[in-house]
This record gives sequence, structure tokens and C-alpha cells, in this order.
Amino acid sequence: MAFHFLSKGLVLEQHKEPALSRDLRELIVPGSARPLPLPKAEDPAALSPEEIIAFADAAGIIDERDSLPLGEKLRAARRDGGTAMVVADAIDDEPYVSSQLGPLFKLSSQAVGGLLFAAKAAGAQEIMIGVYKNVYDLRLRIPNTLYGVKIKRITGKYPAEARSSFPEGGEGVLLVGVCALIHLYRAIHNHTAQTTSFLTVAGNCVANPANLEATNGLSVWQALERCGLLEEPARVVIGGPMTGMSILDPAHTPISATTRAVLAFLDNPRERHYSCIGCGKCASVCPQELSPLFLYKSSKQKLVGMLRFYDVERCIGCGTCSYVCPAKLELSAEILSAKRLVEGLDKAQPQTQPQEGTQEDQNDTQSV
Amino acid sequence: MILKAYNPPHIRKRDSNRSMMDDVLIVLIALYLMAFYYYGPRALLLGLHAAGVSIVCDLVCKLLLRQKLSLRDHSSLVTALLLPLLLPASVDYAVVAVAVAFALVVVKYPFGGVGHNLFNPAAGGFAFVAICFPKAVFSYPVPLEALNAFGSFTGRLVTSASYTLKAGGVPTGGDFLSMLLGNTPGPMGATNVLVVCACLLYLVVRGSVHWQMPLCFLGTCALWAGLFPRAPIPGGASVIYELFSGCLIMGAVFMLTDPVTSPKRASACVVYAVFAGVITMLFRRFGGFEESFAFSLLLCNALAPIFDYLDELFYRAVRRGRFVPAKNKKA
Amino acid sequence: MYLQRTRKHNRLVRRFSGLFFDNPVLSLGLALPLAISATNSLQGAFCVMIGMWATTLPVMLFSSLPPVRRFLPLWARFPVYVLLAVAILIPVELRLSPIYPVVLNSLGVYFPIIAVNTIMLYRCEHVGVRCGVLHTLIDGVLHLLGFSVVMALLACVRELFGYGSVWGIPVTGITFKLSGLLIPFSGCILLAFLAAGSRYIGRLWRVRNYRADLRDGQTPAEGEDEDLDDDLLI
Repeated sequence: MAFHFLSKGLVLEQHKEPALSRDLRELIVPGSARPLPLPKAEDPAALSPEEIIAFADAAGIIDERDSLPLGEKLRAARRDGGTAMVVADAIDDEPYVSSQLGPLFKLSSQAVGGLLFAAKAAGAQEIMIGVYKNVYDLRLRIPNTLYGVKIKRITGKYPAEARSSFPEGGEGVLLVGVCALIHLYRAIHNHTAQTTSFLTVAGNCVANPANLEATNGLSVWQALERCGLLEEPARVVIGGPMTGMSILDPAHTPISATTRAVLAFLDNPRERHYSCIGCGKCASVCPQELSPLFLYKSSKQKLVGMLRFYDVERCIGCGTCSYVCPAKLELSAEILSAKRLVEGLDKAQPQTQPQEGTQEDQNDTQSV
Repeated sequence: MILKAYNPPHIRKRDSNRSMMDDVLIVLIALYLMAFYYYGPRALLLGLHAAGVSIVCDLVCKLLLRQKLSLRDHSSLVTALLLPLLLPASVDYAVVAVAVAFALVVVKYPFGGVGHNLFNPAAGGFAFVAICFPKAVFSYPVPLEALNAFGSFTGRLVTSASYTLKAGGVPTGGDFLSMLLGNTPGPMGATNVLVVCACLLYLVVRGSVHWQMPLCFLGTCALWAGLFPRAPIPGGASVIYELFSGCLIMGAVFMLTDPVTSPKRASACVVYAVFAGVITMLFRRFGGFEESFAFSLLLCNALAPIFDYLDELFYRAVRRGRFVPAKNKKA
Repeated sequence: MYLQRTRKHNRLVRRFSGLFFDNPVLSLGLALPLAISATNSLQGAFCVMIGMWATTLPVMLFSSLPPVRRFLPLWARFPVYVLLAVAILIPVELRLSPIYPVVLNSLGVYFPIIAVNTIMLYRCEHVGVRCGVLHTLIDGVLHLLGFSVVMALLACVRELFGYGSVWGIPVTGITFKLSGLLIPFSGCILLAFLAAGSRYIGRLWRVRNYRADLRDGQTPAEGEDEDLDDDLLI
């Protein structure tokens, strides 16, 4: 924590209130609850790890962190000889988004219960909860333990989720999202499959920002209207504001487990594209120590050799370069498309590392 | 309803190119007010004249380049308002017009306009008029004497401290306080060192400049001046005379830190500033003109991409933990 | 015919290449030091022009003679051309120095390097060893005319605004003299602007022809392929 002001990144204003303090709202289609095809668990505490994984499979639980099925994750962790620690991931480092933090504090018993089940399934001895708190989150009070489970406070600049590490767990640490753990608890105790997801509805066009539990498959527009819209929004985003996707038709876009947040904004800043003046702010803020301005220029000219020289494969798509750019260039989008281009070329013609001699020449003549 | 698709991120920082240039404009106006105090309304009129010429040149060049005609980007205004501050207040209006026109039409726009120029336009303009009219550019009026506002200058012209230093003598223009406040003959905006340092502080706080560049540059110049004084004076006095004479501090704040022509990362800027300091002091000792910061800056601008390349090699090693040589670089 | 005007224009370009369309100084970048450093004054430019005409044309004609084309080996061609040029240039300079002593002195090394000027060497190898004597003569004359026009233009501008005189005679109207125009740095910049201007005018002409052709709305004849049509190449 002491060195976080030296690390690269942005300190973003979080805007998590009032959604975080409000009670969880519900937008559940009546009769959508689906029972599991397994026999009901009479004594949840006596379940074996394989049975827990079977419940996770049958409930179809998706981890919202990385969109992997929870059963697969637990099975893979168990297969490698068990992990040392399972961590419940409530690291919401993007502004407005609190779809993991909110359920963690409002449904704490379910979250901790799910965490215990997951630890048993993965064969872990230690458990922990990771929570992100920024200098801007003054009203958020994080206790030290939650039902006996230690909470680790992650502080630092955005992007924090990609760079968070848990050295207490040593070699094997399994990170599972809090919402997936809640669904695991419900699968075992209430015998229901995962038919809902937790998401945050926020933005300056939403009248009552809140954390919502909505049935999967409902449209984004319905979720927005559940929390009240002030006007017709000019921009609707699913995901966080830094890495999320803006959608064209909110009435026909469904909610899924990995939606995480729906943001509606009233107005758009005027699209003024100045030219790059080489101020270097993007390079000073990139957490991967890349040079976004050279990557942008190389990508515009499709110079694959230069893209490789500037290490385009290391981009994690956090969006901090576009955030600080005073010329309002689309740095992040351009660099990600360049990364996809280079990865496509690599798949077509595999590179041998670290010799980048003749192969690179061939690739350059192909692309230019 | 069908909305438009936008690229992430969907929140942006509020400042823009224009706000960065506006910061520099505010600071330049403060310098003009100080010049007005010392040299009367002629200083302000020269600035307005330069701004007018720059707007005309801007529009003509943008028409030729088929770019959008707008004055929304204030970078030409910055160049135009910076140039009279490097010249004496007694200079003709025509000389200022030639400087601004050269800076915009020859140094900036043929290379592509904003963001693409290789050389600093203000340095280029000053260099051209220094070659064309050396007597007009290097003889200065005495501050706080009356200057006629229009037409050619008809008063008394003296030489500045940098001329005395170049000849190997000890400058007798004024004591330390008057040199600090600008009561000595010299370039219009470059003599009031105190105000220029305040401008530097403002720009650093606003984040418009890399603070490492002026600091390392002036540190290198001070070190050199202390070790190799040009006149028979002790090291400390030599440092003060060298730093306060000519447009060294002003150039370090406004011209060296130009974002387009200087290296992009802070670590490359440090090396670049040290290199620029050495080159500037060498030009001062062995060069032809008494004030040759503009020429040394043009040389350093030409070499700035090398510092970027070396810095990128360094960061490639940092990212990997070992040195990987770059092959087949295509610029 | 399809693209009638463009074909006519291309034929014009090929016939008169060297005067305007492939100007040796502006488009091909030949003999740049002479165009930059020797155009300080009109008299200097005139001396260089005389030297160029006197050396380049005979050497080009020499290189296109059939015995030379057949028997002179590749490694000996350039030395022979240069020796011949030097042999011509020395008497020319001896003839010129009593008439323009000051100008020749101020030109310094830029008069003797006419003996190795790139217009001569390039056109000898490009045209002289491949084509007949008449074609080489026409090509040489056109290229030298193009070179002379550029030299004269540059020298006029630079002397007029640098010294305020033309051919040594002061012009009364010019009161504002930019002495920075006399150093080679300004010569480079003026040459660059002239090259850009000539490209722009050439492009305007080509685009005008092409647009007029498209407006006529003709289509290629049966069996004609646009890419293989020789008349449409430049």
C-alpha cells in the first residue's frame, strides 16, 4: 500500500454511491426459478468436494470475472493437487461498478457460505476476500473480517484487478467472483439453478442507481427502467466505463452473467479529434510500461514490425491511455485492434522467439 | 431505439490540446504585461501584430493543405506570441512579421502542421531573423525609457549582457536584483527571470510540461558555467550571469519543452535535456552569435528521435528483464 | 478512344520529359548543389549554365556514339566521361574568368564540380548508352533547358530579395532585403517549395485531363485492358 503512489495508473473518482449503500433491488421474472436435476442436499455441511462440483455443474454457474463455468474452475483446481487458497473476488476497480461489492455486503452470509463450499471443493486450507477501496471511497467502511473470513483491502490505482496479487497464498491461489459464490450457496441450500445475475445500474441518466438482481435474458432496457431513467440516454454501456462496450439497441440486448453493469449517460462530449502533439501522458500512465502513442502511429500505418518492436502483445486493454489523452484520440481501441491483427498473423505463421529475423520480413511484406 | 456505438473508455479526462495551449497562452500574456511595464505599449502592439500575421498564415496554409479551417487549436498563436518575447522591443514590425511567417509557413506546415513538425517553429523563426537582421535582433533598448509605439524605433540602443560575456568581459548592466526583475537590456520577455520561473511553476502544476526537462537543462548549464566561466569572474557569479543573460531560462521553459519536438517519456527527456545543455553551452562559447539558444535547440530537435529510440530499447529490457536487440526496424 | 486526353497528355510528357514534367532538379533531384549554392546571383547562375551546356551536351553525344557504346566497358565509362568533361571545362573557365572574375571566385568549388555533375552522368547511362544520337541530343537539350529555367528562376528570386539587385544592377523598388536568402539553407527551402509547386501544377493538369475524360463517359473497347495499355503509362 505504501508504494501505490509510485505505481503507474490512474486514480479514478469512483461514483459508487448511492448504488452501493442501497438495498439490492430485484427484477426477477416470476416462475423463472429452475430446480436442479440432482437430489436435494439433506446435509450441506457433509457434502463431498465432488458433490459440490456436481451441484455447480448442474446449476450452470458462470464466474463473472472471466466467464468460465465455476464447475470447470473448481475441477481444474482440484485436479492440479488442490490449491492453497481460494479468494472471493470483490475487486471492483472501475467507477460506477459495484456489482460484486454490493452483494458481498448485503448477502454476506450467502457469500461466505459459498466461499466455504468452494474452498472445500478446491481442497484449499485458507480463504480470503479481496475488496478494492480507493481514496475517493470515503463513505465505504470495510470491516476486517466478515463472518470470520479475513478481508484484504486492495488499494492502488486503476487497473487494480489485473495487478492484484495475493502472496499469502503462495503458489496456488484461485480467484472466484463473489456473485458466483452466492449462486453456489443458493444451488446447494435452495436447490435452484443460476437464473439471475447481479449488476449495477448507474450513470447520470439513471434516476435511482442501484445494484440489481435481474433474470438472465431480460433486456438492458428493462433493467434501466427498473431503476428509472431521467431522459432518453445518449449512450448505454454494458460493463465498466473504462473497458465496457457501448450497445446500439438496449431493448434487444440481453443481460447475462458477465454483464456486471449497465450504465446510461445523458450526453456525449463533442467528438473533437485533435492530432497527437506528443505530450507523452499516455506513456507516463500505462501500467504495462508501453508507449501508446508509438503503437497508435504504427497501427495507423499498419507497420507490423514496429508494432512488435513496441510490444503490442503486452497491452491489457485497460483504457488509461485514452482516458488521459488530451487530443482525445482513440488510443485503446486502435491498439487493441493492432494487437488482434498481430495475434492473427502469429497464428497464421508462428513466430519463433526471440529470433525475429526472417519471419518478420515475411510478415511485413504480407501486411503492407 | 438505435444508439451510436462508441469506443471505450466512456469517461475521459477533462483537459484537451486546447487547454494545454491555453495554459501557455495565459503565461505568455503575463510575460507581455511585464514587458508592457518596462517597454510601454510597443510590446503589446508587437504581440498583437504577430498574432494577426499568424492567423493569416494559418488560414493560408490550412487552405493549401486542405485541412479544416478553424482556429480551434491555439498552437500557432503560442508560436506567434512567443516570438516577439525573444526579440528586443525596438525591433521593426516587418521583422516580427518575417519571423512569424517563416516559423509557420516554412518550419511548421510543410512538415504536416500541428503535431508533425520536426523543428520548433519559434526557434526556426528566431534563427531566420537572427541571420537576416543581426543588428536589429541583437541590440536592445534600455528598459523604462520611452519607446514610440508605431513605426521604427528611434531611441537609444545598447548591447546586452550576453554580448559582453561573449567578448570575455564582465557584464556591468546591473546588480543581481535588477537582473532578476528584468531591469537590464535584453530580449523583451526573457530578462524578467522571476516571472519566467513563476510561469514554469504554473505550467508544471498544470501538467503541461515535463518538469524534468527545464530542471536538468538549467542544472547542466549551471554546472558548465561554474566549471568553465567565460569571463574572469568566480564560479558562482559566472553561473548567475550565464543563466540570467540571453533567453536561456525562457527557452528552457517554452521552447525546449515543446511537446511535439521533444522526446516523449520523462526518462528520455532527462537525457535530452542534459545533452541540450551541453550543446547550448558549447554554442555559447564557440558559436558566432551572442545568443545561440535557438540554433542549438534546432540541432537537438533533429536528434530527439534518437533519444526516443534508445529509451524504447531501455524499456523493452525493463519489460522483459533482459536486453533484446531490435531487428529490422522500419521507421 | 478511351481516355483520349490522358493518352495525349502522356505522349506529351514522354516527348518533352526533362523540361517540365521530369525536371532534373525538381523531380529527379539531380545537380542539387549547383541549384542551391550557385544561385546566389544571376551572374553566377549564368556562369554555371554556360559550364553545364558546354560539358553535358558533348559528353552525352559522345556516350551515344556507336563505337563507344559497343567497346567501352562498364568500369571505364564514368572515368572517361569525367575526364572528357574536365577537358572541356578547363578552357571554358579560362575563357570566362576575365569576364566574370568576382563571380567565379565566389562560386569557389561549385564551378569545377560541373565536371562531375549528376545530370550528365545519369542521362549518359540512362539514355546515352541505349538510344541513338538524335534521341540523346534531344533529351540532353530538354534536360539542360529544364535545369537552366530552374537556375534562372531561383537566382532571380534570391538576388532580388537578398541583394536588391538583378544582374548586379540595383533595383530601386526593393527596400526590404532579407540577407538570409543568400545562404544555401534558403536555397534548399526555396527549391523545396518550387518542387512542391511544380508537382502541384502537374497534378492539376493530370487531374483536369482525367476528369474531362471521365465526363465524356467512354468505355474501353472490346478486348482492351487498361493496365496493359502502353499509351496510358507515363
